[in-house]
Amino acid sequence: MKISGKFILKVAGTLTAISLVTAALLGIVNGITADKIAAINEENTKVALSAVVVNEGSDFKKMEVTDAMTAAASANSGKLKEVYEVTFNGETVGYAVKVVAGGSQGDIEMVVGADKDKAVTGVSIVSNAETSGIGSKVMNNDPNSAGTPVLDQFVGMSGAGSLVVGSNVTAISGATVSTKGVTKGVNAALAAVEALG
Amino acid sequence: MTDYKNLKLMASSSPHIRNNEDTRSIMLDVIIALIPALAMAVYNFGWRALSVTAWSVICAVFWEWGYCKVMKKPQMIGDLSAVVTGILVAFICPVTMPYWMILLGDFFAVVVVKQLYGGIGTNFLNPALAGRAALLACYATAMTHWGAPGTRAAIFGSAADVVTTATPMAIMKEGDFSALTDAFTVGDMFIGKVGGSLGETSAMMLLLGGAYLLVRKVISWHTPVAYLGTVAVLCLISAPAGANAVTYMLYNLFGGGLMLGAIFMATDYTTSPVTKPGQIVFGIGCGLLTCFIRRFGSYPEGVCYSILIMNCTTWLLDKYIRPTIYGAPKKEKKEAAAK
Amino acid sequence: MNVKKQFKEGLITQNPVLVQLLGMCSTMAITTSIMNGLGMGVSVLIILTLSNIFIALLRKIIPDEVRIACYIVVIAGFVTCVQLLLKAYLPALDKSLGVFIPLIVVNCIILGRAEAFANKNTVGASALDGIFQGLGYTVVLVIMCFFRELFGSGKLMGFQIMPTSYTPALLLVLPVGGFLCLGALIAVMQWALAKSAKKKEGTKQ
Repeated sequence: MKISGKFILKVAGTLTAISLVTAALLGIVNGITADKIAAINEENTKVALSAVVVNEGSDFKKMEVTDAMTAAASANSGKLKEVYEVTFNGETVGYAVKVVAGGSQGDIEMVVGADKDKAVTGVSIVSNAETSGIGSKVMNNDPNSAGTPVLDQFVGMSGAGSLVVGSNVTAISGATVSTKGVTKGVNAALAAVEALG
Repeated sequence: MTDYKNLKLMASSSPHIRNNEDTRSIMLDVIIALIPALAMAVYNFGWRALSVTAWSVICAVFWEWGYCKVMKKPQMIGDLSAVVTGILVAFICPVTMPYWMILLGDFFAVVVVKQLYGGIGTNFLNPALAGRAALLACYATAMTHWGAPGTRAAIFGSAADVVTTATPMAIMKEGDFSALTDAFTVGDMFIGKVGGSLGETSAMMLLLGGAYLLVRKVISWHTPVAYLGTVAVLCLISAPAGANAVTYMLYNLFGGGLMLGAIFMATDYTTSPVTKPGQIVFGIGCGLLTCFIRRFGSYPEGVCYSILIMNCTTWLLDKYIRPTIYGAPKKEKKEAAAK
Repeated sequence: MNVKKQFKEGLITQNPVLVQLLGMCSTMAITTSIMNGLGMGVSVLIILTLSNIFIALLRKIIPDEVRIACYIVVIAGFVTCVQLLLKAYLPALDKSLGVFIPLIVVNCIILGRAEAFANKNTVGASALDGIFQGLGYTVVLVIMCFFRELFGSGKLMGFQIMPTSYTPALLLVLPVGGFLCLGALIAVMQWALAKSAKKKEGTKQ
């Protein structure tokens, strides 16, 4: 089959015209929604971060994730996502780290707060797929076998890799693997903070 | 009324099932073989073990009868296969399992897994194990609520106040083999004085039942031996540092649902290969998967899922592992095998 | 144009999910709560109607050789619009539907209807087709959501319906529950269709 120039023009022309119109439409919709989406995202991040710091009304500044930090986190079997510097009244008071670690049914994404001495100030779960009724107890911060809420027991702990379920971390019975997942994440977050220097 | 005498070749994809009378006597043998383990369960967990099993049998037979009634199919409850399914479903649930959950588990096993695929001889998954998998996905909390050995669960009433324990497999999963050897001796594991599902704890009683089935030629040794052998060998070579390899192997063999699965479930006619070599491959596959799930998976126990997964390969094993045709020339043999 | 016939086809005889077996992936993945089902159903309905209208409008201009490419551009455009609007005004719904909104681009229902209906019919008929097929999809989603949410979590629209002593059957909200539910629905639908076909045959004789 011989392809004529006219045919190519027709095919390419129509496709281009349709694409242009669609692009224009998208541009308009994006213009309307962009600011709103950005505001919502910022709000969500702030809520998640505020849950793990000591001072209410702290400010968060996103920091650059260095290779050393990523490596330190993965050495503790966690995947580093984001790091924020936490400031209160203009002074740096600590860090908030978003990490992902493997749980029992899938990845657990969590935010871990650390103070300037690199001790945990709070742990909050962003998303998870743990078994409802078992692993979800850990996600909901239910009391562990010793009676303390399972996520709160991390507060004050420090030293990446030193947190071990069974010795200084107490699991919820039946949900050991989920507790281990969170512990991995906390260890990784601490390692990342330590790699900051 | 159904005339059982004249029911022949009802639904038989497997060559083993020739008529209703045959199935019935085989199932009767299986039921007899399960009685020692049931006796141990009663000794271990109290009379509730018996009431749960009886209830499960009633449910399974009811669903089988009800499905055939509704779908206007000939009644098959006389072949006793539903009774066996009912006993096995109860055996792989904790003794504290609420009765209504057992009812649902039997529904899934008998109606969804067995009858919807055409009834006895045509289902591709082991009904009891599929029922357990469904219950575990539905009610994870109730399915992991293990009564401690020696506790007496009330026949009626709440299960919440029963003293619970971690199963040997769960203790091992937490990565501490020495904690397991402290909690239970090898003897406890063998006799079955440990926490776990109702009928799975006593390796001794299950082996006794298995021996009876072997003597009666209801099952052949191929699948159980291949299954248990694979687990034993893998455990010997992969024992954790500091643990005695033989002890580790024995705990793994006697722990969890391995004996129950290897003797009573992996040997299910319908869902396992027909040929002896096929059965050996089937057993080895189950053994590998069980060890992998126990060691690397997030569940402490892997028998249920390994047998279910291998069930799905049965058609493949039956297709490629065929006996050679007696007396045929070599070339024809090959062609026949390739068909 | 036959409104009644199109309505019946969209909802029953040519139901996109239960008869044409299109769009099964999203059907199984998101039907864990009625809100999700409604959100997804309405999103698909809007996108399907708009893309049907535009493709019917352009059906004489679009060269046959690049029609699929043109359809995809049109569909992707609308999907992205809906996604941006959801993100801005219904962020919670957007989060729970997740990747399944952008995946509407490759949802077979939309491309299937564009290819099978909109490029052969008038704008009016195509718009109706979009609405009715979208409704058929939404109805199936909501039915599945109803069962899965009610028995899988004891709630409806997020409100506790079952007594608190009810232990939810988690299986239903897991992916396997989606497969079981959809399989059961398709079986019921086929059974009903076969029965009505038999009845029709009976009255003819």
